[in-house]
Amino acid sequence: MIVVKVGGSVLKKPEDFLYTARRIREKWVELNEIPIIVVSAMKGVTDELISASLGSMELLESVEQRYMEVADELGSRKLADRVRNEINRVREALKKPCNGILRSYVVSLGERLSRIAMTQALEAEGVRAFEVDATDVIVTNSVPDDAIIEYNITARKLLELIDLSTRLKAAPVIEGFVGADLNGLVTTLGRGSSDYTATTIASILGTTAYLVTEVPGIMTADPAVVPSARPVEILSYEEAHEAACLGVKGMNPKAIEPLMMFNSSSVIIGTWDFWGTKITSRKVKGPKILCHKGSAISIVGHGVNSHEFALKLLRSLEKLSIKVASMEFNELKPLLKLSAKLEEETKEILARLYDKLFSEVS
Amino acid sequence: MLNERKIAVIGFGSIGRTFVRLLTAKSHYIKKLAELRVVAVADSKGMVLKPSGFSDYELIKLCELPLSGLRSLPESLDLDIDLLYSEVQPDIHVELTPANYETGEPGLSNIVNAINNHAHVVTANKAPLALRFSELMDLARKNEVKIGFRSTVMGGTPLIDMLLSIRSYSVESIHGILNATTNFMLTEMHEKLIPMEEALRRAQAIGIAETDPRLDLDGWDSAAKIVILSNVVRREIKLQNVIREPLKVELSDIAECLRNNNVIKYVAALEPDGKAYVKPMKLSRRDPLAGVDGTLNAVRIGTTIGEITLVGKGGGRIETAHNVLDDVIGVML
Repeated sequence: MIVVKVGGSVLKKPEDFLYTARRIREKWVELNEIPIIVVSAMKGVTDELISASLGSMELLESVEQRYMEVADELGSRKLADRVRNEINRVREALKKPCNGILRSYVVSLGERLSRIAMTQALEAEGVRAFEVDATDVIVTNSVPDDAIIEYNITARKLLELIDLSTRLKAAPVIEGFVGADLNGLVTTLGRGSSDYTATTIASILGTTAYLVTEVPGIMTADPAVVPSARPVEILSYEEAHEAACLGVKGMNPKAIEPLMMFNSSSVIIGTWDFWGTKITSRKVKGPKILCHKGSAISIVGHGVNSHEFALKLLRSLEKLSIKVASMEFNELKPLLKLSAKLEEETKEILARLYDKLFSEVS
Repeated sequence: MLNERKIAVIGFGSIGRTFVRLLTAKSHYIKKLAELRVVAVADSKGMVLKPSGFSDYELIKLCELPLSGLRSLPESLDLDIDLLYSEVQPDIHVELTPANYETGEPGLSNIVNAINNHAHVVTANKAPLALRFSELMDLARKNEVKIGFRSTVMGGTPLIDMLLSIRSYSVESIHGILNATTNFMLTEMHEKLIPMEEALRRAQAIGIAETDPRLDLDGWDSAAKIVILSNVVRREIKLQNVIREPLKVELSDIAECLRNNNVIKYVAALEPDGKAYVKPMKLSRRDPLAGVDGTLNAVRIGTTIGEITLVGKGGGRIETAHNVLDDVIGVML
């Protein structure tokens, strides 16, 4: 069994649900693999719901319209009825601005609707699938909008779910980003945390999680700054964690935590056609990611936190006429940070440093 | 097959669906005890029948229909309980229709019909028991069937089981917080200093309160529960004799409680003199019921040989579904 997380970036248009279902069928179901599918809200929906929770009711209409278009695309009256029911309940909740658990309930609407729509899209593609309400399986603490998953209780519920899925020979479809505390009150796991749901499930089950997105993987640098940036092939858990903490696109620090804790799964990130990055327990030496914020430059990779690497780096920087104000690393983290005086255009300097790093220094 | 049991699920809202999902999730375990087959599922608008039993996958897919959506299926029929019994002859009737405290219907007729057809009954609908507890029990005895109702009061805590296990005790009084919705609302009001209507809106939005909250706020739900508990401990009272004071609490009442170190709780009680009531009460913070917050329930049973206090979950949909399933397992063993 594997876990497939379908991100909002690949659920932009009504037809994306059927397309995703077809790709899931072709890649896994036809090979007799039953995937556990974790879905996000359609692109932009969570932002609209957050605004709606603050009083912009017209944005709720926009969410309704987007999912009704999915129902039209699927030709499903059943989906249309359920979208209407869910929207009506949220509309009731939004009669006044809301916070706490109520806000969690409202902003998680997109994931709930995606779960219903994706299940029906899979059925339309001939895949046996069934809905799983995340509040029945993902147990969290009681922090309404940045909850932490309680692994022990969640694991017991997950094992029951897997047993059911195996017996039914059907793929469970669960919404990401959502859980419930021990009293059954809905919580959300923080922005961008559908990955956290997926990696938690994969870690508990000791299996692989595929994170489907619109980019080919975690990039070695920001392609807008470094044109030669490419997806990092292999990242260790620790490297992924450092990259996530630095705010590298496509990574959420919470999603890495279960991987480090259970030390049993891999995460594969990419598009349907190119899976560029694998996060695993394996540690491969060398710089993996270069990122910057102003004059602060960070390099992630096992071995970059050594004197030997630092010396090589300083020599490279000298050749590039980059003056280093400070450098910081310690043996516990695969990370080296430096502060540099960037006299030329930042973009150009970083691109040159990147080329040095990913060729000479490593 | 030995120990084969056919089930009819009557009422297919949130609880009905959670029960059916649970049944499919646990079917592997249940198979060791007996062969359970769901042969009928009915909601307010229609029903689907399958004499050979629905598969687990078919049941799960029924749960994904819109509410009251069974009628949209091509194989569905108009709701007709007599037809249901003649077509599929269920052994266990699971009654999960909504409570109606004026007439008990449709639950009351459904249960009577089931018993007369020699089907065991498991009910989460309190109204028939609150209105006709002893009559229904007598009818069940006469027809040699059982009625399981442990989900009707404090569904997440084995209160009914506990009471049935202390038959030699004489129960003098019962005091309890028996309604999760109103307790959640009062807790929100105390903790967040919000008006009652706002607390209700929150409870409705997160699915704790019904769209029509009158059964909770007017005390009907708590009153029905105190009637059922009283009957279980052989202190028969009638629903119409329970004095109900609707929950109406102002923020100024909460403020006053805060100043005096009290809390307001919606208490259901049976007093030693037989008087039964449901009303908002100011309790000292030292009272064991005062610290029971959120969706938790609690009950204090006064007996001739001491007091028993039980605190635990009320009947959320998951707890209720578990209790219904345990009752089903109980009646078939």
